[in-house]
Amino acid sequence: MDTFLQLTASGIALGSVYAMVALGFVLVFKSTDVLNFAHGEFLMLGSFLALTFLVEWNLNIVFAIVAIAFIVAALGVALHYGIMKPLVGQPLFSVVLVTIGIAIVIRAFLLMTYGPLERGRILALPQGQLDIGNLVIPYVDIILFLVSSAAVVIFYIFFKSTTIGLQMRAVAENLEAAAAMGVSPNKVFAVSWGIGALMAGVAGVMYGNFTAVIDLNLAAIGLRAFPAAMIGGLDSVEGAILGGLIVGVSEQLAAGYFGGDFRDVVAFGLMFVVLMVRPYGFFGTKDLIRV
Amino acid sequence: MSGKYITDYREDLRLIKTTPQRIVLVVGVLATIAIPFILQIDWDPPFDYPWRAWGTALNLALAWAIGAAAFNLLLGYTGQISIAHAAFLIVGSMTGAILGQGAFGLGWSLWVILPIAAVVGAVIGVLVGLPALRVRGLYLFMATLAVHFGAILLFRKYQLATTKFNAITYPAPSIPSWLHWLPFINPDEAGEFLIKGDFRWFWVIMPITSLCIIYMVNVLRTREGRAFVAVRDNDVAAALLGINVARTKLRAFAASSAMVTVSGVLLAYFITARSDESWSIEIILDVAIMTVVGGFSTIRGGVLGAFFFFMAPLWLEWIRGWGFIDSVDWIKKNGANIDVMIFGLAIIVVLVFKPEGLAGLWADIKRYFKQWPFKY
Amino acid sequence: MQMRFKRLFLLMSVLALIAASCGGDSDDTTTTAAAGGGDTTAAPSDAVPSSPDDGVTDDTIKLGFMGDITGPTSSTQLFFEAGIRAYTEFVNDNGGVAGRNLELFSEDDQYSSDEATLNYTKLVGDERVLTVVGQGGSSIITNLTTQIQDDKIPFIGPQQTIDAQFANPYIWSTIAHYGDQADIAIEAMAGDVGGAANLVVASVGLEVASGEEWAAYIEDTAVKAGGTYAEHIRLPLTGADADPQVVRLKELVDSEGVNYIALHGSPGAALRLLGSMDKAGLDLPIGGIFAVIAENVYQEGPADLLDTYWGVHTYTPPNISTPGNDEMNAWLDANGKYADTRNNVNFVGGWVVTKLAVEGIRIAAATGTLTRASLNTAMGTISSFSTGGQSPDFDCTRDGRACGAAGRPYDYNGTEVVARGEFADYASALDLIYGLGG
Repeated sequence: MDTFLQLTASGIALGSVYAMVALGFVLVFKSTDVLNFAHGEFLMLGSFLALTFLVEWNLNIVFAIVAIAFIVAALGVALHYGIMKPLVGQPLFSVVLVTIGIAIVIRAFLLMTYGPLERGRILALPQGQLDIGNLVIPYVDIILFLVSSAAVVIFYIFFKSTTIGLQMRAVAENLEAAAAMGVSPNKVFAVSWGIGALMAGVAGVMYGNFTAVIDLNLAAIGLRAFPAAMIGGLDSVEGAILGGLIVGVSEQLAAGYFGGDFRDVVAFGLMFVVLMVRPYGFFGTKDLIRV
Repeated sequence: MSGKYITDYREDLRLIKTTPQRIVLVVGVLATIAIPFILQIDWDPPFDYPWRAWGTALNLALAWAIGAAAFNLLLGYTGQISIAHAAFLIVGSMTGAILGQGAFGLGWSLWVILPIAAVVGAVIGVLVGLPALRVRGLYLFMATLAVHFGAILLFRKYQLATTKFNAITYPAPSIPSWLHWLPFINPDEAGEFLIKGDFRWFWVIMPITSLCIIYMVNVLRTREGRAFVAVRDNDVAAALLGINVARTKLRAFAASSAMVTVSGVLLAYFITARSDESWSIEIILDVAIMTVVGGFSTIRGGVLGAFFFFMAPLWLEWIRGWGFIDSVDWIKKNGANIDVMIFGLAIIVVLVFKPEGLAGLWADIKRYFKQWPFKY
Repeated sequence: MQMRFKRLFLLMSVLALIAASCGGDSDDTTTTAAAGGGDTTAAPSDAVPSSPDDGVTDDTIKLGFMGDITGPTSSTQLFFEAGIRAYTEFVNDNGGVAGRNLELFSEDDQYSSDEATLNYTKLVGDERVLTVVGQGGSSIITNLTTQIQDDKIPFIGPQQTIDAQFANPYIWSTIAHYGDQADIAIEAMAGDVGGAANLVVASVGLEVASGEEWAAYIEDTAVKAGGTYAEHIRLPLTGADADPQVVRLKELVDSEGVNYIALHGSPGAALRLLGSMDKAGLDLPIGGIFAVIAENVYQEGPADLLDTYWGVHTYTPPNISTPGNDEMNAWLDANGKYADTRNNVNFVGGWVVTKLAVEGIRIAAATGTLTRASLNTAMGTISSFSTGGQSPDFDCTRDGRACGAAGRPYDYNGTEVVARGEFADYASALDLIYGLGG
């Protein structure tokens, strides 16, 4: 039982990261219909920038989060105007492939700038742990969970009660109708890219404080966002949170009970099963086409 | 303007329609036959230009061309977004090991294994294609990602069960002794004619690749091939036209997977060993580079892309060796990583400015000369 | 349109000029050397005839390196390559070998077998190097093993020792095999817990096949020594933490009394395990394979666990003073070179294997012919070659050409890496049993 609880606690912390990653990922998909393969690389960029800001320059963490979020968000907006906008109307997979190209470039850039050596965890957040019986929960994990919950709440409010949030929902619902009502899809797309990248940047800083090692394998976490987003439903914000937690917990449980080599397979296998049973995830919009 | 017009259906059915095409074909075949002999010439080109390495690059490009073209068949023509590409290379490697390995396999000859591998690949391709009947678009893309990770775990368990910690090795295939009377077949002292080295492998890989490419080009000209395109463009409309969408999707999966599996067997035998470390998620990126840069949704694009993928690094490295570039510290330090960056940028640039890729560029050049001296 | 052709022509001619000018000087040197040098005039007394097909020209000897310089395993291999490059420069500074300068050709495969096959042809077919030094990538050397036999080219000091290398008469391994490393590790662990009978060891390894190999040798050695082996725990190749693995370790501590961890993996994997152990408050001593001794683990890892964290290595980290390291550091200081790469044990690795290769070249040159074949024969005669304490003495007359089948553990004392004893102290532990995998 102790084992189960410990694995679950650790899985929830990990799942919070996945949820944050999946949230940004889903947001971009929901409004622009682009599956962003480079989302993990955005996150990795956030973590590496955190290394520079927090470890090399020793800046305040709040300032660093804001600055990094701004930089990564600016990159997202720039990518929209520079690369994604000319691609509107191209087949689905061409756009996915462009994001693969972006991923390759960001990776190569980070390798050139930071070199291949692995760096350790960033220690900018309060260290220490909470002991509940045999259960050990580090403060970092708790902070991570709180930040991720806060992100969800902010998102929810943003979506429901701001004009741009309403416009984003409108564009996601029906692009032509929204455009006819005077919403500029281009502006909405740019904002979505900005917010999606911003989420990745924030998640990257948090992840840098959580993971034991920062290196170029870190982008693999972007791959984890896929099952998380899929299980919840690719266009559902609530679903991304649930999916992230499910993937995080099931991965840790699988690694604990079956061994580390089953981790990927369980995460993606679970996604596969959900796809087969409920092709549009738990909260995703059902497409009415049946062939 | 060429003055050739197609006047009847029989003529339209031919692959080779015009005299210039015939000439190009003959020249192409002659050049293909000549290339390995030219690469055999023992000389050192000036400026340290690589020479023998082209032989290896050529073989790798040819073997990958099958897979890249098959990827285009599934993706470009049928619109099924599957990235289980590495999974089928793994299927090929495992089929090769189970049937061809002497120590723990059946020890069969490569020539028998290749057609069997195509069948095995087709069957597994149908299985992998089953989700395509239920989910589509990006959801299918995700489902095939699960297949990728499952295949890697399977291969690792297989490797541990057979060769334990060491990579699975593949024996060099040989020409059976009853064929030794053929010209150019000179058995070694042991009375065997082993396929080793770039020169001999070229004569194995090149015909197989040609056959596979011709097969794919022909599939696309049949009723099934047109059904592929119909399913891609609009599957509801295709269903209304009387096309069995489910069967068509599965056929596309079968054809494409069979080809990738063949390429997996060829590569395993050419590279001579495969281990669990040979399969990274980067393989998917490599295939993406090949198909995008070569040209999305044409068979020719896959082939051109594979050649680009293996030849461009040779040129880039050669250029990096030039005195004045070599003296720049930054370039020297980052070396092959610059190639990776160039590939990444190439994907973006191609898709943004020239979505048809190298194949489109080729078509443009052809059109330019065809219409010369007119602009349109 | 004519304008376009004109421009194209102009561009082509400019490019041709550039190519000619930059290629020109290298061409010039070779022609003058061929005219002036050679075996006719002013040849040094120990000069051997050139053999361009074997990478021995009139003024240079070509060496090759192939490995992963910018790919996923570059955090170790990059330093190895730098060490090789440094030693070739060191030799050239000191008058070269066999009357010639060394020239290194490096090929980067980014850990891809396909790319490596291409690079092999480039090095062996196009550049015609005399030998390939310090090749990296265990699945890659398995790919190449038949080709190496066909081309009869010596591969000296690959960065790994796998079973396939022992079967190949042209591969000279310089690092201890996992079997040897497990022997040394178990000996050291037994010493720490007061005898092998008290030892209860669990192995932790990356999910790849070589992780299973490490586990098999640890189990075999521990059980033969009279200790207890608990089980093997696998780490995924990527991921945030090793929490599930640490949870399992904690269970094993409670149920089986595990008191030592035998670790296989990269510096990244080590950092993950240490990080999760630190979080969970699990303080177990860890002994690992050579790859876990890395500067960045000591700098970035949790300090309270590092006092009982060590790894077995064949090469001596650069901060430990030995005659060989002193000579290397003095040369590096004097030239101000390799500042970003020199503080790494893999740098010493590259340096040492090139030292061995140069010794082979010297012996081969003394016989009057320097070719791939004579170098390979010469390597086989090296029975005790001292690298000045940078590694154990190399004995290439052993079975399977395992020149460097020895090593010792290295501890971290809080500021730097220190050796635990001498190489000879662990020589008796080596059973030279390999091929558990069959």
